[in-house]
Amino acid sequence: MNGLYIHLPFCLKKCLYCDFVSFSDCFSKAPVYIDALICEMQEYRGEKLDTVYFGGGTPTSLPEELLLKLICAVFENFEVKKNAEITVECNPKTAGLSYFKNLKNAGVNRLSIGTQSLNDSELAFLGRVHSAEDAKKCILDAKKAGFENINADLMFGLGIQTKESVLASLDELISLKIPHISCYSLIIEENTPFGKMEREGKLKLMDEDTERDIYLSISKSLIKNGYNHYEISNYAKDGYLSCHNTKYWKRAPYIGLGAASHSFYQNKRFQNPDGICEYIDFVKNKGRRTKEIVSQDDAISEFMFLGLRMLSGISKNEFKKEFGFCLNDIFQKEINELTALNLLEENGDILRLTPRGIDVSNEVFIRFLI
Amino acid sequence: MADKKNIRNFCIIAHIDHGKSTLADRLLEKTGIVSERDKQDQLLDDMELERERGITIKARAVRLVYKANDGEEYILNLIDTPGHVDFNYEVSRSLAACEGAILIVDAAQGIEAQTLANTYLAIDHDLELMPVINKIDLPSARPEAVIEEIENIIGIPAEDAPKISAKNGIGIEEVLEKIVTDIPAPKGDEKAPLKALIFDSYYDAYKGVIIYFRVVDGELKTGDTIRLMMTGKEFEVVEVGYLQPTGFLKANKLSAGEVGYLTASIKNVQDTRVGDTITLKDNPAKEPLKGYKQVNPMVYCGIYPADGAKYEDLREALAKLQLNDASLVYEPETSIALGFGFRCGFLGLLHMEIIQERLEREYNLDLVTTAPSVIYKVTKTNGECIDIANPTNMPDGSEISYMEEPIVKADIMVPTEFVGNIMELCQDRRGIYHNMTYIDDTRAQLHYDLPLNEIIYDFFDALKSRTKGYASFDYELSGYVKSDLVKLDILLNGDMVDALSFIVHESKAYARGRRIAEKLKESIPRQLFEIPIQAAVGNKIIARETVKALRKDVLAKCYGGDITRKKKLLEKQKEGKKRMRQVGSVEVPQEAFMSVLKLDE
Repeated sequence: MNGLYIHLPFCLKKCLYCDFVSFSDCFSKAPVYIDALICEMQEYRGEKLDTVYFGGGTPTSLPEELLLKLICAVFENFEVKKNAEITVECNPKTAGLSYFKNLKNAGVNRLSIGTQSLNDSELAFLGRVHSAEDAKKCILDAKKAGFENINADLMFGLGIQTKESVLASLDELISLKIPHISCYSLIIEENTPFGKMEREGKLKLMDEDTERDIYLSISKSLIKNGYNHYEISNYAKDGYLSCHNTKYWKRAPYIGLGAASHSFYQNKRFQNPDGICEYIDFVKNKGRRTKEIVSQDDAISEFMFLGLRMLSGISKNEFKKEFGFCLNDIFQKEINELTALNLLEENGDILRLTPRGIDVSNEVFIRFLI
Repeated sequence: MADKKNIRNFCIIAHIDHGKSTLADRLLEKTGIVSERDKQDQLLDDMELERERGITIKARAVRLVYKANDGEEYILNLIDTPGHVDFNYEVSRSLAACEGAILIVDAAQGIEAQTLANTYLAIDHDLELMPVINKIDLPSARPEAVIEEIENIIGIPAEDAPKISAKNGIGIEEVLEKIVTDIPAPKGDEKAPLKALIFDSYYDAYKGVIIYFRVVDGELKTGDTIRLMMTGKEFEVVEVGYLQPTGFLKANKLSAGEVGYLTASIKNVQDTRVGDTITLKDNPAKEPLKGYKQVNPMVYCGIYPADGAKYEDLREALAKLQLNDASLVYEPETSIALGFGFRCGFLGLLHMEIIQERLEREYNLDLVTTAPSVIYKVTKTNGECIDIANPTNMPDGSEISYMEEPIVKADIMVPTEFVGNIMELCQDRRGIYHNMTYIDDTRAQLHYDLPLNEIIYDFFDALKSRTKGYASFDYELSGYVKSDLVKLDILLNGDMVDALSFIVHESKAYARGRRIAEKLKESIPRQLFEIPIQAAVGNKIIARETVKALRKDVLAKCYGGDITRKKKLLEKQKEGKKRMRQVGSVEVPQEAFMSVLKLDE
């Protein structure tokens, strides 16, 4: 069973930290782009799907009829499993009650809302287009429209943030009864306005120790309120974990449509061209993608560094089933070292990150690269 | 062959930047040998590095033909001298090949420390000094005051000194005429057994070693069998000739008073030591010329390839450099922290920097170098006396009876307003004050004895920064004195890092240890566990810093299924670790080893 990811690279405005492929000045190309997506779908026509994810960019920055046309096309062209998880990402400024109702009627059953913070100065710092009030209204509208399965993003590690301000945002999200919260720390990417500001010394950064203290408080609070910390940056109430994103960690196949989208399909990884026009031309000309065949070594590395992102850890039996030999046969030394450093814990069949291992997970992952 | 009375052998001495190379270029131009088209700036300095740094590293010589106002043609042999204290011995041998010296003084700057040092060296060699005031075109030029300075400080008449601008070609004729009239013609006996002074040599891939020499007595012909009196080596001369700016000019023979080159299929510059005397095997001179000295390195450091796999490349590069630089010495050494490398000896700090730069630039090597060290003399309790050039080799404290360190006589010339700053600096560097002489109302010269190990770190930078760049500095080794020295070790997570050990005066150990610990703390990245950085003398910890354990290293959101990018990021991180040096359990970046070399803020 496949996942489907559709990239919609349109935004009202680029946020200062964002290095995803997305444009604020290309809305005129949106109709052609949607047609190109529908055209690209034909390549995979008839594939079975159990998750669909409309990501971006901001899918809901598109006119409703365009997005609905695209959703219909997915149902027409793929065999979408009953009760499949169908997510649309949205930005609080772009969608309201009627938009949400229409999405719901079209078959969407999960929303991921880019709240990021419920503090106006933090939102302004990030260059978000919405206010805290917009975000809360958006969540309430989504609920009113009948959505229960909602994710909200919460960002921490902003230079101007305090522990109190982050926890205040978090408390509001919890009291709004959002069942899935994605918490992640701000990463300064080179090719972003923040990247430039950092190079020029103009960006206020948060020190590592404060950032980790905040992270621990967030984590503690979420767990206390009944959320499961199921992946490094994701928390969910029982039954609400993101099936689509889980496919990434579990190395399940997924089809990516649209500019800059990635696919893991028939054991190959490949990517579409980045720009909107390039993508449209690519589809029109039936362009070829460079496909990377995942070697056994790559697969083993991926199994480890993706699988360990899940806090339930990896199963040695599953490893053996997949690769035909024991995990300990190739990684005994690494496992010994990492458990000695209290970064990994081994419990029968399961190998997983410790709380300390989560903090420095990259250090753990690089040991498993072959 | 020119008549001896029409030969003038001279050199130019000057403080750095006073215009030595520029004047040399003008002399070459005026004598008509270099055309405008062929002219490169600063012809005599032919290494790229020399041109960039504006210093002359190795002596070169050139033969000019000048038709003087008296209607006669003169051969002017200009022997270039290195302008830096590290190459003092080579300077002295170049001077010994001359009868006179042009003393260039900058009309704005006046006399500086190196001017004086080189002047005294020239006077020691009985050279006729011919002062020239350069840069008279500068708005700040004060030629009359500088003339007075020369007369007062050096004590030679200077009222007739040509006032020139080498840059603008003003007064060059006058300099040429003065060379003819003021500098004596060489003496020497053509009939006597051959004595020729080697003042430079270098290795040429086609001809073998090319010796630059001055014939003092006798004659030297192609086909002669020569003997180098100090090394005792004998060779058959393949070629002799003169050194034109455009290249070699073959000749049949060279006689007393002349300057030229020879080749003799010599494979190794180690055989052709600067200062050695060339004589003939068949009719040898009784004694060699005076003044030969075996030059010994004063400063040592460990040089390691940043990438251990480049060890062989480094070895080859050093061997190639040594072909042309008999004063560079090196031998293999191993460091627990840095792996395989070489302990290299240099004449001084500048020489060390030049070699490091040439290795990096000309041989494309990334290097890690250890802190420079001088040679300490250790007398052990059993009476044995050993030289220590690598701190790692220092015996245990209990085996040491006493230690000695090298001391230099330092002359520092400085505007009077900065005298206080300099005295403070010298005192801080354990200097012993001798006296101070005033050059004029605005400048003074300070005389100190300073331990060499106090000036090899960053003394020159400190000097410049405390005098807005106005101080000039010159030193020469004066001997060894007993000193309370200790070996300072650096421990990372309890493991000693041999490459960071050094020998230091007891009174400095605490401050230096603390500074190094601080520097290392800045340059060692946080790791999975807390890393204590300790500075220790013997078993006693004198400074401690801590690199806190890494708190966070996490790729937060893994979004949109771009696994390839995540993997690349992780791989990059893994690669970065490979470039670090593993010291015990600690990963130390190359920069950390370099960061401790500059401790002055």
